[in-house]
Order: sequence, then C-alpha cells, then structure tokens
Amino acid sequence: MTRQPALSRRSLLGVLGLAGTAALVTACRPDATETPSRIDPDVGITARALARESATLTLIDATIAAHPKLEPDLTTARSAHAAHVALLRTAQLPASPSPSAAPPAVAASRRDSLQAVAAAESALRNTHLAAAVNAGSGSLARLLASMSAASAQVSTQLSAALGTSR
Amino acid sequence: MTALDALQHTLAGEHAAVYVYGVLGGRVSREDSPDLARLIAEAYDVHRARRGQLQTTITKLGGTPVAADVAYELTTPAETGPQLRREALGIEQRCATTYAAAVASTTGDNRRWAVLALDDAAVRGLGFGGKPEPFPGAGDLADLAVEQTPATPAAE
Repeated sequence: MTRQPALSRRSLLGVLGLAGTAALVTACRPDATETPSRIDPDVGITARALARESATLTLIDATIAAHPKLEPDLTTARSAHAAHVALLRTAQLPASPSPSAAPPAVAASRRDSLQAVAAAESALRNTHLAAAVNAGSGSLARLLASMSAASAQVSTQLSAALGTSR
Repeated sequence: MTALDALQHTLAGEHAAVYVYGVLGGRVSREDSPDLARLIAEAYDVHRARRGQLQTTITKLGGTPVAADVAYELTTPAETGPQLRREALGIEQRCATTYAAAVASTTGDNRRWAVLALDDAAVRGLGFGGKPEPFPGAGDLADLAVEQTPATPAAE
C-alpha cells in the first residue's frame, strides 16, 4: 500500500470519477467515524473488482507455475490482469485480500487447468459486467465494462484453443 | 457528455459500420472465403439492428436521430482477404470506443446496452484477427496503467 505515490492515487480517483476522496480516506481508517452509508458504494465496487482481478492473476500464475508449457497460452491474459490490478491498486482501497492466502489448486492435466482459467475469465466477465451497470460513476462503469470485455476476449481465445487441439 | 450526445455519437458510428460492412459484404468471395463472408454478414446484421435500437432510444429521449453520411471512407483498399479483415477489425475497434464512451455517459438500460455492445465488439474483433487487449474500447486506461504500474509482484 505504500509503494504508490499520492499522485497516482489522485489520478486514478479522477479516472474512476470517485469524487469522494474523503470517502476513500475514511474507509481506509480503522478509527473511521463515518457511517457506512456515507461511504461511496463505488469504493466497494472497486475493491471487489480488485479482489477478483487479483484472484484471477494468482490463478494464472499458479497455472503457469504448475504447467510451464501453458505460458504462451496465458501470457496475454496475464498481462491484461496485471494491468487491471496495477490500475485498481493505485486507488489504495482498503480490504484487499490477504496475500498469504493459500494458492489456488491447479488441475494435474493441462487441458483441465486451461479450462479452469477459461471458466474463471468467463465468471469475471459477468461480475464486471454487472458491476459496470451498477456503478455510480460513469468513469468507473467504463473501466469495469472494458475489463469485462477483456475477460470476454481471453475467455473466447482460450475456448478456441481448447477446441482446436491439446 | 450527456446521454443523448453519447448515444448520437454511437449512432453515427453504427451508420458508418453498416455502410462499411455493406461494402465488405459486396466484395468478399463466398466461395473462396466462406468463413469471412459469414462473419461479415453477421456483423452487418448486428450493427444494423443496433442502429435501429439507437434510433428508437434517441427518439424516446426526445432527440432526432442523426442521419447517415452519404458515404464513408475506407481505411484500406478492401480488396484482399487480409484487407477486408483489417477493415472489419477497424470498425469493431472504433465502435468499441463509442460504446465505452456511451457506458460512461448513460445509466440503467442504456448503459447495459452499451456494456453488452462493448463486450460483443471486443469478441467480434477477434474473429477478424484482433488480439485480446487489456482495455478494449478504452486504450487510454492502458496508458495510465503502464505509467503507474509498480513492478508486478513476483510469484511466490
């Protein structure tokens, strides 16, 4: 949380249209006295999007670690999620998932593991899509919609790879 | 941008898409490239349907739907298979940008429409040779993510 300079955070807040910097700061403070209703719902939407993006990135890393031959199939997806996580992290949101969480299980078969990533991408697409519709800020909605489209592309690409060979 | 302005801008993009896909459909060889011909025909139908949906929505919002231009310039000679694909991919990418802008400027059902259209354009572009991108329709966010990317944490 300390790596990003304050400037980055401000730029992201601008991108997301999260006018409520106060809401974010409040949400970050354990001694916050603001009631939850005063916290912008978009903060929660952004935090959940970050958690899901991070989980997907972790799954892809674990899959590549278990099956190095899958790396060429997963490089594009990995870099997309890394970019998403990097951008979302600059908001310095609270309640990020514990990095010490157990690594996700990866199937022994390459095909099954790739299938699992494709399924995760498809699920991520749907959650981002719903979040985009519900976001209060238009800029945040655009970001979520674009990330949904990115997962849709990856999911389609992986499904095609699964259908043709292996 | 108001919702109406964003939807008008999106409609202008659909007019261009319908025109260009019409041209591409007339040039693709159904015998030599049946798959490409099918993809172009499907895309033509999808964009024509979206054009109609936008005209209805804009009218409901009290606007007068923008009219199509007489003709649109193609970005390639659109003669060979690769040129036809590149032209089609370009349309999907330009439409994706207008859909993403419409997402930002609308709410409710209109936003849902734009989100789904963006999703579709991103996937449809793959059929024409496009590659997955980190931020379909919103490349400006990619620049921002790169500028602000701290070293990606190494896998444990």
